[in-house]
Amino acid sequence: MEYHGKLRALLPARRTYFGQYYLLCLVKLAVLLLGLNALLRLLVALLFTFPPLLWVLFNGAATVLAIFYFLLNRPEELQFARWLDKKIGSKERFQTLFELDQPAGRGKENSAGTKYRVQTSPEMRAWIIEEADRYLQAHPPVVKPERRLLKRWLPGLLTALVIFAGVFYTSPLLSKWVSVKQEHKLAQREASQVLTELEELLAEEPLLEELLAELALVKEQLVASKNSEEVALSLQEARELLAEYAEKLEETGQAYQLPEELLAANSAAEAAAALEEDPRFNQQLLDSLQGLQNKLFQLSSAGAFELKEEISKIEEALGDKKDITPSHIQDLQKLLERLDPASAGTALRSGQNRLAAGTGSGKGGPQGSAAGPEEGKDKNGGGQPGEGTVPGEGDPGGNSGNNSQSGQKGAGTPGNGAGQEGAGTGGNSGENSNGKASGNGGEGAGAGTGSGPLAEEEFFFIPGDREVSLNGDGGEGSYTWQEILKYHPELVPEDLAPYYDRYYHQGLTSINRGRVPQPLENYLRAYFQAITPP
Amino acid sequence: MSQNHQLVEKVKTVKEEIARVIVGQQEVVEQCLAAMLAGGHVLLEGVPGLGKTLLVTTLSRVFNISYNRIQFTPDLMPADITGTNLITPGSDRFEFKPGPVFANLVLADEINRATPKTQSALLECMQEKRVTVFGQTWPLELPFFVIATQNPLEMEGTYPLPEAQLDRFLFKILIHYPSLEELKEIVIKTTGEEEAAPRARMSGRDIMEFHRLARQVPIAEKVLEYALKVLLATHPGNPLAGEKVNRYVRVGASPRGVQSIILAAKVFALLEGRFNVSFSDLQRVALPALRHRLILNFEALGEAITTDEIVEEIIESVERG
Repeated sequence: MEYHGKLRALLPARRTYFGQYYLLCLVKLAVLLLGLNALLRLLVALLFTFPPLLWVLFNGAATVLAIFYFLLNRPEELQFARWLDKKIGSKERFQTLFELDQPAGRGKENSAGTKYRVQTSPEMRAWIIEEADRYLQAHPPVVKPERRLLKRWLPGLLTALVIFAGVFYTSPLLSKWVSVKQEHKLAQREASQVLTELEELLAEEPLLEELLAELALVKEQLVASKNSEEVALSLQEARELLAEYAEKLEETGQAYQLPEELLAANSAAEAAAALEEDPRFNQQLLDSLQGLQNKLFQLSSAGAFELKEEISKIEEALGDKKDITPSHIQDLQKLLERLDPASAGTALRSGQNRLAAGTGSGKGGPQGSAAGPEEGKDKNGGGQPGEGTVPGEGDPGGNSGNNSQSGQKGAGTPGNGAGQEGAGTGGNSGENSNGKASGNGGEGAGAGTGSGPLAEEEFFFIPGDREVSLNGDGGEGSYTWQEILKYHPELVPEDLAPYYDRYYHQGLTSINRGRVPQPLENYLRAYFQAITPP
Repeated sequence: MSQNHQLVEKVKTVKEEIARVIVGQQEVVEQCLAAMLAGGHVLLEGVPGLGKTLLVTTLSRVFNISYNRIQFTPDLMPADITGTNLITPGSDRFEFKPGPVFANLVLADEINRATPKTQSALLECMQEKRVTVFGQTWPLELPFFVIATQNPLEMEGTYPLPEAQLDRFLFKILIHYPSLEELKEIVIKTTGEEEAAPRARMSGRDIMEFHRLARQVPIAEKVLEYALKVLLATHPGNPLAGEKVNRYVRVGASPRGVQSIILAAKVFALLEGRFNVSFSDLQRVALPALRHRLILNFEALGEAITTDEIVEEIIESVERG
């Protein structure tokens, strides 16, 4: 379009129109770049990092593309004419004029509009220009920039600015959060691998079945862990478990030594004869076997039951008939051979080494500062649970009270520790024909180290044992399972199998987390072992 | 001064001359003028006594063109309009005797009183501008205009115009009662000593020239699109149609409707001294050009909805540009 004659008066308006278009383009470009950079920062924070050169490249490419797009879509002269007509109310004069002046564009040759324009005579074009001149002379166009357009984009620009600022300040935090998560995942994976290896290492050891079950629980905790601290705690727990079992194995090893030596010193026939004839030997062997059995119970090993059975057989044979035979001794020797804690101890030590090597990466914190299981003095040290935490204050007394089965007030059986006075409040029954102590013993109150040996048999009943009667001061009562069912018809006997695992795990978890007093731990394990569904 | 400007100036003098005779009714006069200058026919609707006949006779005088008036009655026959072949006295030959339609301006007074057969006799005249009698075609003298009138009140014994014939009228113009001031002036002018007589200001040739010039006026693409959208918006079911159209209109306007709008808008643009059509020109002519082309349904009749209401809504609702 040529702006000749009076049409030159349109030039300022034209400048305003195109000026505001390019200003708007600048605003759009700013919004685009702010949005792009916010997105990139987010991506960098969440997913990956890339060098500053790429930032420059991305921004440069976006700017070039945007400028290309803006230039490609820049308004034509005809659009300016339409805008002007609307703006100054010139009754579509200028768009008609500009349309007539417009060259036939690509692909527009056959359009009705083009044909229409071609039909218009040159005289008519001249008249239109003349009339437009007259109009401009009478109504000089005064056009102001449209603030409305800029205002429409202002919220977008402000939003982009706020988003960018928000991302700018939050992306480091996001990045940190992501790295923490990644570290956690990594630590979890590594720890899980270590525990799996540990399980494989200990899988063949009959004395460490219980440890394996507990390690499985620890592994579950590990999988469910939410952060690296929990992973470290799980590993710490695994270390403590290993240390605890190592200690127990050591004790078991010591308990194992005497009967093994006694039996090894004589042949089976000699030992059988000595058992019948030499009361000292008899007493020494049986005591040492009993001690071993206790230690095995502490390990929750099934071997404890086998040993118990063997001891019973020998005791029975040593009874009135005195017909103990070398086969009894041979069976016992075979059993002892199988229960030798030496190989379990070796496996356990390997496990401890593996655990220390796998997780002691020197990062500091709970798992990093492990100086070796034996050296740890507190729970966070990565070593043994530490002195002072296990023999919790008041436990023995409390337990005594709990299990006192006394009718009114628990008169707990004290341990040897100091301050073991149980002060229970009312058990429910004086006698329980099932032998299971179901009364709520009084809450113990006391302080002691709890190191005294507890005579568990006095008040612990394990299913499968012979019936025991518990005496107490409570009211009379004699309950059998049949009687309970008789008086409580709503109770329906149900198979234990579907529930067993859940309760067993719960029991082990409670032990693992120190919620069960130490003297009761073996009882709990033995109890669950005894009721294991077929 | 160019010929075009002279023509436009002449039209201005025509308006002034008519204003000397016809008091008020400025819009009606302008619409009638525009229709005639666009080469279209007009249907005037109004109660008797509003100056319809006076307007038509005045127009014929200021344009200095031949004028005939046909009073339509139920017993009027087509031959009474078009003319017929008669035996010439003293010879055995038929000779064509032209009817009253052979004039530049024909006033078809109370057109709805004649039977459809007679009404349709005007069809060929209006569209083809020729008359065929006994197989022989007679061209009508150009310019040729029909201005028909009808009384909206007396419906008994009338024959409403068929849609095909209505469509041939460029405009349907409604004449309303004059205001108090206008009425006062009418009374003074018509009851005085001497009534003003209109003088000729243009010729039939000028009208044809103006008509040719009007057809040259260009229209911008967006303006043309607006006219097309207005037409499409009268079609029920069309995406552009509004709620009222879909609910009350049975049949929308034909393409002849948009032709009428564009032609009349071009004339209005010229009358304003412009050589381009604007949105306002289209809006000005849309109502008289479309109101008789929409056929409403029974629901609209029941709710007393008029085509004017619908067209006005369309004009407002259709997006410009």
